[in-house]
Amino acid sequence: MQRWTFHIALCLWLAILAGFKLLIRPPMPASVLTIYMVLVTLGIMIFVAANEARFQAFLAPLKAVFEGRAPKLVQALVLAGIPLLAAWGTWLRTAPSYDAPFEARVVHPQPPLAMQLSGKKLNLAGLQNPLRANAADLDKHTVEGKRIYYQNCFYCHGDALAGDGHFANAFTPIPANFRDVGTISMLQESFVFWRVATGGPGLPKGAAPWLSAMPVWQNFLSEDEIWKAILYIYAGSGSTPRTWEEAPKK
Amino acid sequence: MSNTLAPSAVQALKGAYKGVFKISVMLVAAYLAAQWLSSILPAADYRSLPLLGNRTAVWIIAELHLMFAAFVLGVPIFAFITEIIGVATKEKRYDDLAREFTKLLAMAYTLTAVLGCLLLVLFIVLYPKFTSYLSKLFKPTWLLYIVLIFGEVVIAYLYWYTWDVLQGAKKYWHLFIGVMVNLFGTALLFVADIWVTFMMSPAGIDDAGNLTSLWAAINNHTWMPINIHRLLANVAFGGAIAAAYAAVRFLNAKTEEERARFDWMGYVGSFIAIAAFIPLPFAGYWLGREIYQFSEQMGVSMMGGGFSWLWILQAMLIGSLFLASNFYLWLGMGRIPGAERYAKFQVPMMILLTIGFIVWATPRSIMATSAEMAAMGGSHHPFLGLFGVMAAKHTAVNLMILTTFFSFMLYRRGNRIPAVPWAATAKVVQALVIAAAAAVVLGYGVYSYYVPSNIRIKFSIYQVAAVLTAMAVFVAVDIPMLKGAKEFGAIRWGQIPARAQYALFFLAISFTWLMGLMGYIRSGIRQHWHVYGRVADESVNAYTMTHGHATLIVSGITIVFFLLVSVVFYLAARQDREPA
Amino acid sequence: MKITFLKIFAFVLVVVGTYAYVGQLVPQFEEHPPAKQVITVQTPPQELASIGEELLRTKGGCLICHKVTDAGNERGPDLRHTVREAAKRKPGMDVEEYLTESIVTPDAFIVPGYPKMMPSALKPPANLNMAEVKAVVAYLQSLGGTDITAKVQAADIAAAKAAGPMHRGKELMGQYGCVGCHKIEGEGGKIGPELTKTAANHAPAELMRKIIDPTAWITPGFPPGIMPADLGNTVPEGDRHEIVAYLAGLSGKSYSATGAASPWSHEGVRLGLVILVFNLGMIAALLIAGRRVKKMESV
Repeated sequence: MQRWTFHIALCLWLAILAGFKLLIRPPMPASVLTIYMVLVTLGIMIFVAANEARFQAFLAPLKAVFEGRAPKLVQALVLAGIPLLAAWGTWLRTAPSYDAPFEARVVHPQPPLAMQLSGKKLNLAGLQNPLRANAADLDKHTVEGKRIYYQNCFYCHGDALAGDGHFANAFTPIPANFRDVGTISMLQESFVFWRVATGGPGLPKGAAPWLSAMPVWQNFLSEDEIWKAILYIYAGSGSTPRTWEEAPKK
Repeated sequence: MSNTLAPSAVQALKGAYKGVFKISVMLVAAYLAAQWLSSILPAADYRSLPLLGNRTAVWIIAELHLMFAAFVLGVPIFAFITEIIGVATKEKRYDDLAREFTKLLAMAYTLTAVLGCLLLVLFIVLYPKFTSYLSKLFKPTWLLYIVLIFGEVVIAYLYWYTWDVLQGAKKYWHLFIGVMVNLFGTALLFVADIWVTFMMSPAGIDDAGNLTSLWAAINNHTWMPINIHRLLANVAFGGAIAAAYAAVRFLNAKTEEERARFDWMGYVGSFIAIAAFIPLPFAGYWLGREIYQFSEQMGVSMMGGGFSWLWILQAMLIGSLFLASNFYLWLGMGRIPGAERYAKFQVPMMILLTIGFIVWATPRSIMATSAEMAAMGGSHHPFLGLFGVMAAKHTAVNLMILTTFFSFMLYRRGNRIPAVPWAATAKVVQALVIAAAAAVVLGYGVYSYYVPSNIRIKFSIYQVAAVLTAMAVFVAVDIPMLKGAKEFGAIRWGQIPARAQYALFFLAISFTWLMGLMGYIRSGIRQHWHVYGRVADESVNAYTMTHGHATLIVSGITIVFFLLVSVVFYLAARQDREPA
Repeated sequence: MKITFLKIFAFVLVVVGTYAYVGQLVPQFEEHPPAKQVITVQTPPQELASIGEELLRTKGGCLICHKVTDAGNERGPDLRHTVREAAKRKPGMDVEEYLTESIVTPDAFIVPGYPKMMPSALKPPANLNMAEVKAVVAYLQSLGGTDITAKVQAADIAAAKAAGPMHRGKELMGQYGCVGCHKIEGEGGKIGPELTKTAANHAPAELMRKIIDPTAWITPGFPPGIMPADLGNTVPEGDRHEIVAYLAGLSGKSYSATGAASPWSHEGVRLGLVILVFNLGMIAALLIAGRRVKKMESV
């Protein structure tokens, strides 16, 4: 068994690579695959090297090849294979492609301390949805929010609030899916308000290049209307906003 | 006072005075240099430094100062603990080890002081306006700091110079000095943290920037979390550097005896580093929580905004640290007769660690081309996206901590067979405890996807509690179980492959780099503020640099640090060769 | 030994290099602080108001006495109601005129129930210029919920460029009693020479010297020996700089208040004392221990 350490390690590595490539649907992006394979390599190497006998058994076939003791065919394959693999890698890196340029961005851009709302300065820290203060009118506001949503937001964010409206596929990035646990349910309403009110153009530089097509809604909706729409997207997607843990100190 | 003690007391006092004198000269020189420079240079709010620029210069010197300071504050903590173990077990090798650790200090003190003075000059000369604002605000603490420095130097040198004198019946006096060294060191750290944390989360000042309450300014949101975080990190860092010292000595060793000695020292150092490292993420969560409570914006820009990419780097470093420490332990089991019984656990542990690492390193913001994004149906991967959120990462890191702990427990048990009759039951209990903790961690990890975030946040506390409880119970069972255990044979200290020593270097380098990176994040999230939200940085360097640039500077600092440390090591090793 | 060191150092480089390399793989961008808002004639009213708000909080120092939220100081009137009240204050004066007047010459109308205490915003400590005053007015108007009528004129900008930076100097000169003898900006005693334009004839460094050493020069017509000679000790170093900076500003010169501090300033003396105490303490301990040893040896 130990004699085959090297071969087992190699097969394991290839099997994991194939598993990641074939079993995960939709396919994972190349950047993630690279991270995963680096870690897998690290894990295998460290396991192999953590025991002296195992490590020597692992090195034995390599030594055999590079010291010229292995069969001629294997030697030829390895010695020719390494430069070929390197060449292939280089070609993959440098070959021209017609893909749109690569865009890296943060999913969760940082909000400013305060934002401009139609000329007024609005402090985002500790900002609450004013419409939640009065629980009696909450349902009424939510219904109005639903109307506002269907008049404005629905075309992109969709009937099911899943970011799959009619126009959704025309955009990169596609509109936010409010049912995803990673979107509005992990955000405070103040953050959502900021995103709605200032739209794509209001994104900070740190979030760039983010070509969000989200309009600057404060130009079309009043402050109250935005809050109502926010009430609806939370109610409609069945999520609750993240709350301030305690009143932040000024 | 006996006749033999008196001359050596004079020797010890002389040694301590040498330290005081050195610090005095340095402080006076720094002060005069700063005054002289600011009097000949034109008055300004900011002055620029050619080549490096003022921000980078202050950054490099501050970080180097911090690293040496961490070392000289961390080492006495575990030197003192080792000394106590020596007293308790009456084994001389522990006392020798504590002495060996302390020996590294004297030279490091001098370097820390030189760097600190340099930093002071840079602050006064390059940031005159802000420095004078801060020093006026915290005037009393500033004086306290100087007094503490002198106190620390006197006591630390006495601690070192009285080592051989205060033995036997007088050992308790030496332990008392050890307590004092650590009290002064901790106080120093706490005072220095006042200024740093005030800049992050100011409190106790009015809208015009005037002081309203000094205590409120001191006890700001992040002060205590940073104190604790740094205290633990100092011990971990000191342990890692001490282990690296042992590794150098091991590789340079000429005799078997020397090799055995430094192998053991490296093991103890790395053990201290890992032991202090395990609670560190929890202290970090506390700090992060306080940052969020102080300012949501600051919290988000740290975790979610531009800086989120650096957390991927941090994840990579922490994952590697876990892998490296397990690697070291497993290699170490090769020198323990009987440890081969536990080799069978290595495969599942490695799989667990790798999967944990993979989850831990899965980015929240996935880098993808537009074609890939279209295939995923958005910027979130429907499946991998589950790994990107904190719930998954808490689970992964807790399991990795548990695995590493288990690894260490197996190592500890390596050559021993429990002799107590209830050993079999105890082993079952231990296995159940570990399994229960893993189940709690996993269970809450999965459950947290189904609850809103304000409830989810509390889950990480339950997970941590489960892991810590499991560790405590495991150890509590282990100690009586292994009492009087039969041994397969003594540990063959010194018989370990050289690559294990490189694992120790890896720990030290990674700790250092990690410290530089986290320091940058901590400082960087203030963005264009000197004092967040209060005093704006109006210099040309107020921008946040690219991550690539920042990591290059952190790397540069790490390399310079290791060059300086090798000087300390060299001098310590040379001192060893000379007859005392 | 050397080989080991080189090997280890190469290992350090490889590990650090790997980390640095990964650092280059993540997205790279620089984030610059928000651009400083500059008031121009074209500044739209909303932006003007937001600049005004910033001034009110920071440079203007208005919140030391006034409040704009429920929590705040009540030495002066609540600024949320100023617009509502302004129209009723003075017959024939519209809101903008009244607000401007009450910022520039606060004593022209004192709101009943409040003492006469507000300094003109055009002078230190607030030291706003006319354009900034208009911005504050614009903010007050938006705070009161009315249309913003305040408009910046070209003349205001020109005046803004001439005025120097803001300094606390004036306040300090009151605090240390300088104005007891000297007249500055129309206020103060006549025992010493007027200082409003003194910086026109003397460089800041000279003024600094004069404060520390009153005999540095004597203005003709004034008797020597009147000015206290110990100002170097009683007035902290940083404050002296602020005063000189203020005087320089009055003559249109600029001078940073954060220049050199003399080694004899308070920090220096305190540092020296600590150093001295510890050194003397150690020397004393050494001497005592040494003497004991000698005594024992002789016994």
